[in-house]
Formats: sequence, structure tokens, C-alpha cells
Amino acid sequence: MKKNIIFCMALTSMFLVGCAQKAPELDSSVINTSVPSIGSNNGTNLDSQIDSMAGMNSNSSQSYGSRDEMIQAIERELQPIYFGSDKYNISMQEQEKVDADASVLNSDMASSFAIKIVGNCDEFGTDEYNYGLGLKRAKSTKDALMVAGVDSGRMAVTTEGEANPVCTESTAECWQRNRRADIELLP
Amino acid sequence: MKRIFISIFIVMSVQLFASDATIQIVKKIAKEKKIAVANSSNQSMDRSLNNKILKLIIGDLKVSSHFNVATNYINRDYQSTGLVSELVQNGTELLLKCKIEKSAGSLNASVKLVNVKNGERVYEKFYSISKAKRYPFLSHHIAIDLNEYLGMPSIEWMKRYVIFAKYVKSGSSNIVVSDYTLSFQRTIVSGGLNIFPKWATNAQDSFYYTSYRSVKPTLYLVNLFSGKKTKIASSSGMMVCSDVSDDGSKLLLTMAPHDQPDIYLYDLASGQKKRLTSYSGIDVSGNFVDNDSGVVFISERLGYPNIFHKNINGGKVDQMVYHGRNNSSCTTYGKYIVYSSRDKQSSFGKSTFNLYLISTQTDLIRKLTTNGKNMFPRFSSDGESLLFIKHMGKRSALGVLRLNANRSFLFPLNVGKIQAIDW
Repeated sequence: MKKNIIFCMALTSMFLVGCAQKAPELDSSVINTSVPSIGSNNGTNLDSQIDSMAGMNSNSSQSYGSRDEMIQAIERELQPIYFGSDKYNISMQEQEKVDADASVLNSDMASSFAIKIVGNCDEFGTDEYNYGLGLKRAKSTKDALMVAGVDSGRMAVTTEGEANPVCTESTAECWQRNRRADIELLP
Repeated sequence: MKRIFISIFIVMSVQLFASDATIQIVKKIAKEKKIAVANSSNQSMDRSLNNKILKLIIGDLKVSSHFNVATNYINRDYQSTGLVSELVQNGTELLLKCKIEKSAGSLNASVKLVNVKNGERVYEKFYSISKAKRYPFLSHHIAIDLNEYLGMPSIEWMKRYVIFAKYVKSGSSNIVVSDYTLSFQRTIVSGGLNIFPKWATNAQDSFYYTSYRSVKPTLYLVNLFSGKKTKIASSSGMMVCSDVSDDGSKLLLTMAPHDQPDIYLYDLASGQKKRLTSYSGIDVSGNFVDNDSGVVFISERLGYPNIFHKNINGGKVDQMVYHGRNNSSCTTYGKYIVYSSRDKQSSFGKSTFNLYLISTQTDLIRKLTTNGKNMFPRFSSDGESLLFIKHMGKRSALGVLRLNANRSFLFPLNVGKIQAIDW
């Protein structure tokens, strides 16, 4: 999905001129800055087109109205993998979830989908290290799924650091829920 | 730079536009000129805007740490020449009269510096700005010029732009350009996850940032004036521009083409990438040092994040910091490194991240902050100040730390949470 459209917003300029009042004289301190904006302004249209195309592709599906619905149904079966503070190794407890997720991902319904694993972190740290930690969590999950029988060629990893919390309270339970790897299917 | 090393002891804080009550003032700087600011605007002037401009001038003079400035402005006619008895009595040496006026298409300021003891005018200037919403830069220029006229060390950095990313909701962040007080803000990139903005040049005419709009995180270069956006590189897993060489020709990137975050040297002219680190864990946040011949970076090769050094042309990796168990971000200036370290949790379970300054040539460590979550330090271009992010619950603020004056100032962000900064 591509929604990148550049549009320029306000042309903003600032002129600062300093001069002695008695003998007016232009100062050289001039700022002339225009700051355009970049964003998306037709994302909705593209989204609807893609949604529509996905629906057409999945007409042959027996149980679901669209491929997206199938993905959503499968993703509901997948469990996030949780990690300890500053850790990216998978605990024994989480290994059971990995095995269960691998079974879902290798099922007939899911086996044709590519997989994206997104690593996430708690709110401690906004720096690059937090994104690196998220990536390592995604990588550990990918490796564990591979050992559990999921084809590594289907899986890609990425990190969203602390950018995508599922909980925003300042509690230990909440921070734990954010230290996770999410497993998603790609259409 | 020697002053940095000599003077930094414990961070001092002065309440400016926001309160940080837990930080205590522990020392007064001597020999500061005592100055007051006067409101000399006509009654017809927009009172709210007038108040903002005067408060910013007072704030700038405080942040400069070169003046003992009265917190509140007084009212005084611009043309009056009589002595102000209250100022004479309290030892004020200088009075800066400011007359702000709005005219068609511009905002004007007349400023006059008066010797309080004899009432004589010692300095006068006139300013004009075409767009009123840029008033913070009007204030900054007034303070910079006054500071320069009085022969104080430069505070030119006040007129530089700060670029930062702020989270606006889960999975979404904007890139914003602002002044150092956040009084002026303009969103320049929005939609999706846009993170780690970095100025591409000292002139601040273009910047790099990472976009998550594509399948792979992608690094873009954007010209601030034309809006031209150029794709530089992308990588599966992770892509961040951590630093730009002095001449702007090379970048230090964190990429993960094989799912492992490592540091790469990227030559903009040739497009060639050279892998600088190859540890199987986490290597991130490369910073050029030693005239771009070395790189300081964050690695967890000891089992926790810490700061290491390596020559660009290879060789062994050296540990730079022997303090703390979680040092996850740093900035460099010459032989100095400032890093953020996660200190022990308090009995209330709250983690604190404090900033520390070290020199590569001595074993001394100076603690720059004392409480809260102080992260993402960035040296100013003259090395005499630090910009950093301070997180306070769900909010965050820009922090400015004046190294040679032992003072810090906070400027809270009203909406959103700051992700990364550069200036």
C-alpha cells in the first residue's frame, strides 16, 4: 500500500532586519525559510481500492468473504510472544505459545500467507537501542518459529520500538504486555 | 571546551516556562549583569502576543546564563528618560525596553538598552518580521544581538531549528520543526510512523528520516525548502540514520539486512555501504568521532547496552564507559561523550535515566541530571549546550542543558510524546 503523496503547505518566511534607529542601515540577519509539509491526502482512496481488490481475490474462499477476513480470523488464533525487561530470549513459558503459533501458521488455511513479525518494547527508552531490542525480539521469534517448522522464507521481521503500545498505563503489567513480538500475516 | 570540564558539577535548574520542582538550584553564578525587561508597547498592541514575546526575551536571557534577569517585566514608556527608582534601588544595571507593534503584514519590535544608573541609552535596534507566528525567532534574535553587543559568549544556537519526531498515537508519529523552546512548531511530515529525523547539513536546509510506509523501513532525504523527497536506502528489519559526517558526504546507518542490527558507513556519492560492526546482538547509534575517523556506538556485547569505540578502518572494539549497567544512548563532541544511563530503580519502582559526561582522555565522570527520565542527548554545534528529551509520565519535554553554567531548562511538549531530536 503506497500512500506517500507530497504536498506543500504554507510557505513561511521570516525576515528579521536589524538597524540602528538613528541611521537606518539594513542588518544582514535575514531568515528566509519556507517549510513545506509531507503527508498523505489520498490514503483513503487507495485503501478502499486495495480492500476491494483483496475481496475479489478471495471470492473462491469457502469460509470467508474476503482474504482480509481470512487473515483476521487466522491472526485471532495467533498469540503474541512476551519478553522480560531488556531481554530478547524466549522463555520456556513463551515457547509453548511459539509452538502453538507454528501450528496455526502451518495449517492449510494459513500456509499460503507470508508472515511479518514485529518486535515491540515498553516505554523505557526512545532511542535506537529500543528499536534494536524490538528487532532482536522479532528475530528470536522468527528463529523459534523456524525451529518449530515454519518456513523461514515466509517470515520477515521488523521493529516498532516503543511506537505501538497495546497498553499505556504506567504499571508493571502494562509494560509486560508491551514487551512482545506480534505475528501478522501479509496478504 | 575546557570550561565544560571545569564547571560541570551538578546540574542546576531554573524554572523558566515550565516547572521542574524536583531539580534544585545549588549554585549561583557570580558576575552576571543584572538586567530587567520593560514592556513599552502601546495599549493597542495584542496583549497576549506582546506578553509571549516579552516572556520569551526574558527566558532567552535566562537560558543564556549570562545575565541575572528579573523574572517579570515592568511597564515603562519607550521614550521616557527618567530614572526608575525601583531598579536603581535593587541594583539593576540595565533595562531593556521593548516596544512591539503590529502593522500591515509585519510584526515590529523596537528595543532600547538603557543604563539604569544614569538613564542613558546605550544600544538601540529595530526588528521586523513578516509573519507574526514566527515571533519566537524575533525574541531569540533580540536576545542574541543584545548578548553579542554586551560581549558575552555566543548564543547563536538559539536561532537554530530543532527537528524532532513525536508520537501522536499508537504506530503514528510526525516530524516537526521548531525553535528550541517549542514555542514555534511546524509539522513537516505526517501520516504513518516517521522517526529519527536528522539534519543533513549544518545549514539545516535538508534532513533525513525513517519512514515505515513501505514494506521495509526506508531512509529519505527531504529538502526543507523545496519539499523534494529522495529515497536514500532501505533495509529489512531496521533503518536509521544515526549521524552525518562533518562534510555531509557520509552517513552512519543502523541497518539489519540479515535481521541483525549493525552499523554501516554509507557513502552518499557512490551509494556504497560498508559494514562496520558484526556482533550477533545489538549494535546501534553510531556517532562519528575523531574527525570522522572513528565511530562511537551502543552495543550490548557485554550483556547490557554500553558505549564502545571502533576505528572506521577496522581494528578492535574498545569499551568507552565503565559506569552503569544500561547506557543506551550517547552523543559526542570532540573528546567528550554524554550518555544516558538507567540508574537503579527507586523504592517506588520508578526507573530514572540520567545524563553523564565523560572525556575520552580522563577517568572523570560528571553527572548532569539527577532525576526523571533524561534521554537522547545531543550536543549543540558549539559543544557548550546539550539538548535532550525528558519524559514525564505520558508527556515529554525538550531539555536544554547549559554545560558551562550548570543550568538546565525544560520546555514541555503540549501534545504527543517526543521520539527523537536533532538540532
